[in-house]
Amino acid sequence: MTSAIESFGFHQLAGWLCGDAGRSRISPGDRLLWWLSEKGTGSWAEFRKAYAWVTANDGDAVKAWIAARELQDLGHVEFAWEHGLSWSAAPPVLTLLPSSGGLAYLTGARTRSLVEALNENEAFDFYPATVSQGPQGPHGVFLLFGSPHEAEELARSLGIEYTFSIAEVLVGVLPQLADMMEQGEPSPFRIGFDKERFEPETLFWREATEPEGDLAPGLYRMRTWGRTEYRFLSATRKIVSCQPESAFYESLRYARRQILRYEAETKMLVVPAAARLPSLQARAATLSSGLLPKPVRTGGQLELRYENVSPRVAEAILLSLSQAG
Amino acid sequence: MTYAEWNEALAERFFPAGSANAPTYLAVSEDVLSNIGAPTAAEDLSRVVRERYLTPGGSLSGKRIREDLRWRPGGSPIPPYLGLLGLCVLAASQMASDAEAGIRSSNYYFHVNRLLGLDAISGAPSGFEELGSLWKDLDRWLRESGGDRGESTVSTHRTQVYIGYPMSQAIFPVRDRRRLPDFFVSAGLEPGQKVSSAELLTHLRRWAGPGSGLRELTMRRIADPDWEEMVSGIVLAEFSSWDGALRDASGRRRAEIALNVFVSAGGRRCEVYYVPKQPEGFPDEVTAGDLHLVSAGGGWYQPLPEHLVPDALARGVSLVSADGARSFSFEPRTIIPLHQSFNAGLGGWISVRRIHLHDPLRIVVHHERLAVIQEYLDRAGRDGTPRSAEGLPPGWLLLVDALVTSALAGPARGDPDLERILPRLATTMSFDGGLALESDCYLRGEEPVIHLGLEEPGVFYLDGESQELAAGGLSLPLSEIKPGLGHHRIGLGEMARRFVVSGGDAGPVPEGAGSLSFVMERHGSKVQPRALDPLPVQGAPSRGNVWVTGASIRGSEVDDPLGFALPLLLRRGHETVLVGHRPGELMESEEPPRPSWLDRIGPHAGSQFYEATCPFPAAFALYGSGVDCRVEALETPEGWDSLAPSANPKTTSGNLEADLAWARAIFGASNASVIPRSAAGHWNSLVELAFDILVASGG
Repeated sequence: MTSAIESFGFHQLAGWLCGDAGRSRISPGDRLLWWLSEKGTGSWAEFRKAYAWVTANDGDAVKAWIAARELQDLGHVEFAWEHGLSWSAAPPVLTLLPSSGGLAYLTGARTRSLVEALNENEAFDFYPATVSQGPQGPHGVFLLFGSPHEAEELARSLGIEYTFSIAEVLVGVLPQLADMMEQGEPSPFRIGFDKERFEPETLFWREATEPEGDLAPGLYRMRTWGRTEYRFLSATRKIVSCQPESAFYESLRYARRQILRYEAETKMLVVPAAARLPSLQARAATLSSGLLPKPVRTGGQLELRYENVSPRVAEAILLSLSQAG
Repeated sequence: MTYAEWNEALAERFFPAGSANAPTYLAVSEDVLSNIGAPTAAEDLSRVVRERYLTPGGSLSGKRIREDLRWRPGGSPIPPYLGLLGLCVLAASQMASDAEAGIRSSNYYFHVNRLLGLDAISGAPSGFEELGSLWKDLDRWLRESGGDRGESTVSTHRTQVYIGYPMSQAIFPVRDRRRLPDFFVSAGLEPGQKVSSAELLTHLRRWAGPGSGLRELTMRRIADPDWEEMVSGIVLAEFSSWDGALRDASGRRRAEIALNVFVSAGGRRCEVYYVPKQPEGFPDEVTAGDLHLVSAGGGWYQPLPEHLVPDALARGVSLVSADGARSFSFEPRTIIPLHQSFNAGLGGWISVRRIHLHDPLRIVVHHERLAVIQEYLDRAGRDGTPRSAEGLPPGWLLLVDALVTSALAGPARGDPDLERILPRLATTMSFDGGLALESDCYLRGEEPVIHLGLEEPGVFYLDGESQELAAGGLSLPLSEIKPGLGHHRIGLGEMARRFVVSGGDAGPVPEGAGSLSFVMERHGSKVQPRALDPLPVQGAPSRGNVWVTGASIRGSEVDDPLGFALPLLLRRGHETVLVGHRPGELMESEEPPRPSWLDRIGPHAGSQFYEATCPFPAAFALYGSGVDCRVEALETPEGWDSLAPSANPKTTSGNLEADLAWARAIFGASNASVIPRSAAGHWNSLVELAFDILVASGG
C-alpha cells in the first residue's frame, strides 16, 4: 500500500521488544503490557509490584487499580476482582475500527513474538502506527489497511483472531442492568463503619447518619479495613453487595435520572467520571476507537468522552444501563 | 521406676512412632524428666542407670554395653540403652546451664560423674569411650525406622568426640528450638529453600540477639566458634523439616498478629488494624478467648475488633484458640517498622520483624524512642519525618519517608526494638523489583535492583566478574549492567543466587491467555451474566454459553452474531462510482469528511480511505474520469466465483435507464488500468456486456 501515514514509532516499539533498541519512548504501560503478555496469568499482588516497578512509585493501590481498569477497557487483560484477585492476558485480536478508513486496532496480549512477526511481515500491505494513551498507558498499536480482507488475512497468518468492529459484537452480549443487579448477594451493612450514600442528583457521596430503617433506597459505601465495600438498598429494603459501576446506574434508574449523553453528530459518548461504565460497556465504548476516553472538565464535573461510538453501540450501552430516553 | 520402665518412657517421650521425619532429640533435662516421673526423677534415673551399668569398681560396664549393642535379635522394638544415653544428655543439659562453661571435657565430666555417684573431678569415667558405639547404634536405629521415629540428629564434635554426642542432643533445648521458625521467617527463608549450613549460620548469628526470644546461653553457643558445626547441623536439620509454621513456647502452632496501617494525608491520618495471619492448616473460623476469628482469605483473618484489643501497641495481644491447639500473638514493641503490603486482602502498610535495605518504610514509634530512632536512621539512611497521625493511640507517632540504606549495626545492637530496623543480615543481598515471569526469571531490561549491605568489606561477583566492595550499602540496577539473556550467578561473600534473563518466549497467544472470561448464558436473544466478574474457564464454552475475554468472544452462537456486511474502503480525493456485477448496479459515492477523532491517531490516519456501504455487491470502484480514470476491484477475484450464480452478468435489471447508466460508466472506463491485474478478465467481460447493452439501445 502506498500510504503516506507515518509509522509513529511502531518500529521503535518492536525494536525495544526484540532487544535492538532502548526504551526512551517506551511508556510504563508498554513495559507492563509486555510483562502481562509474556507471563499470561498472575495475581493482583504481582500486578501491583510490577506496576510499582514500571512507574517507579511505591505501589499506590489506587493508581494500580486505575491502570488495571484501563488495560481491561482496552481489551488487553481481564481482572477477576472478586475471585481471588487474579488476572489473565486476553488473546490477541485484530479488530477493524468502523468509520476509520481502514484502521485496525491490535488488542489483547502483545508478546514479543507477535510484535516481531508483525514488524517483519512483508506479505501483507499495511502500515503500523503506535499512539500514546497518556504518559502511563501502553501505546495503542493501529494498523492501516487498504482492504478489510487484508486485515483478516494478516490476522490469520499471525495465528490471532480477527473481527470487524469488536464494539458492535460486544454490544450483542452486554449484560443488562437488572441482570447485573441480580448478581448481588444479600449482605447487611457492616456494623460500626460510617456509611455514605451515592446521591444520583449530584453524583456525589453524602454521609448517611440516619438509622438503618430510615435510609433511603440507593447505593451506599462503607470504608472498612482499608477497602471500600458497597451495598445496594433496594426499594423492597433488601440489602445486597454490589459492584459500584452497575449500582450507580441502578441508583440513577431509581431517581429516573439520565446522565449518559450521546452526540450523534460527532459519534461521541459522554460519561460523567463519577459514574464509570461497567466493564463490558466501557470496553465496547473504548474499542470503538481503540483509544481511552478523553477526560474533559466541564462545569466543575469531569467527563469521559468516548470517541467514534456508532449509534448502534451507543444505543445498546444506554439501553443496557436504563439510560435510554 | 525400673530401668526398663525408664528406657521405655524415654523412647515414648523422644522417639514415638509416627514422628513423620521431624528432627528428633534425646533431649533429656531435669524439667522433662520431672514431667515423665516424680519430681525426683533425675535422681531416680541416676539410680537405675548406676544399678545397671556401673561395676563395683566404678567403671561403666563394657560387657553390659556390648550386650546392649546386640539388642535387635531379642525382638524389642526399642534399644535398651536409652536410659544410659539419656543420663549422659542430662549431664550435658546441666553443663549447658552453666553460664560460663565452654565445651571443655572437664566441665562435662564433672556433671556426669556427679550423676553416676562418682568423684566429680575424676575426669572421664572408665568405659565412657564405649558409649560412642551406642550413639552410633541409636543413629542407625533412627535411620532404619525410615523417619517414623524422627530424623536422627545424633552427631558429635570434631575434637571432643565422646562428649560431643550428648552435647548434640542438649545444645538446643526444646524451648529454643521452637523459636527457630521465627528465625527462618525473620531471615526471609522459605520452606524447602536450598541453603547451605554456613549461610544458615551467618543468618542465625545475625538474628540470635536480644529480642530473638532465645535463652542467653543458647545465644552464646550460637556465637561460639567451638559449637558452630553442631549448631549449624542442628539448625539445618530443623530448617529442612520446617513446614513454614511458627510455634509458641508450649509447642502450639502460632500465628502472628500483624499491625496493618492505612496511611493518608501524607501521614497525618491513619487507620490501624490488628490482623491475625492465617497460616496453612489454620481453620477459616477460630474462637480464641472472647474473639471469633473469621478468614478474610489470602492467608489472613479479619482484623480484631479494636475495642477488644485496647492498648495493644503497648501491651501486646496474646490469644489461644478454644481447642488449645493454636495461638496468636502480637508482641508489644516501642518501634514497629511497616512495609508496603501488596497483598490483595490487606493493602496499606504491614508490620515486619525486620526490614530490607532500601525498602520504602513507615515506622510506628513511641514518642520516647523517637530521638533514638532518628539518630540511628540519620546515620544508617534517612531519618524521615515524624507525624502525630490521627488514628494512632496517644503517645505514638508515625515516621514517614524513612529509609535504611546501610547495614549499620553498632548502635542498634542490644536494643531489641531498634534492631527491628536493622537489616536482617550483617551481609545482605536482596533483589528489589524487576518484572519477573517466575521466581528469579526476569524480562530483559527489567532485571531487579540488587541491594548489597556489608558490615565488613566483601567480594561481590556476577558470573565470572568479581569486585571488592567496601563496607556499607550499595544498590546495583542489574538492567544497567545488562547481564544478557540466559542464566546468571550473582554472589556476595558466602551468599549466592541464580537468576535468568528472558527475552520473552511466549508465542503470539501466551499460555493462560483467556483463562479468565466473562461468562454469559444465552437465553434466546438475551444474555445473562453468570457473575459480574470474569471467572476462571477452561476449554471451550458449552452450548448456550458465551465467554468474553478482552476482545475475544467465544461461543457457537456468536460466531456471526450480527451478520455484518464488511464496509467498502474507498479512496479519498476522487469522484467515485461503484459498479456491481449486474447491469443496473451503479452508485455514485459521496466522500464524508474525515472524522476528527482520527487526529488522535495521527494526521494521516483516515486521510486515504473512507468507508461506504453499497446496496448491491460492488465489483469495481471507478476513480476519476477520462484518461485519469482508474478501475479497482473491490473484492478478490476468487470471491467472484461464488458470486457468479446470483450475479450473472447477462441478466439485466429490467430498468433500461439504469442498465444504460451502468453500461456507460463501464464503457467510459474501458481503457483505464485495472487493479489488480488478475481482475482484468472479469472487468473485460463487464466491458463487453456494457458494449452490447449500448449497441442494443442504439447508443
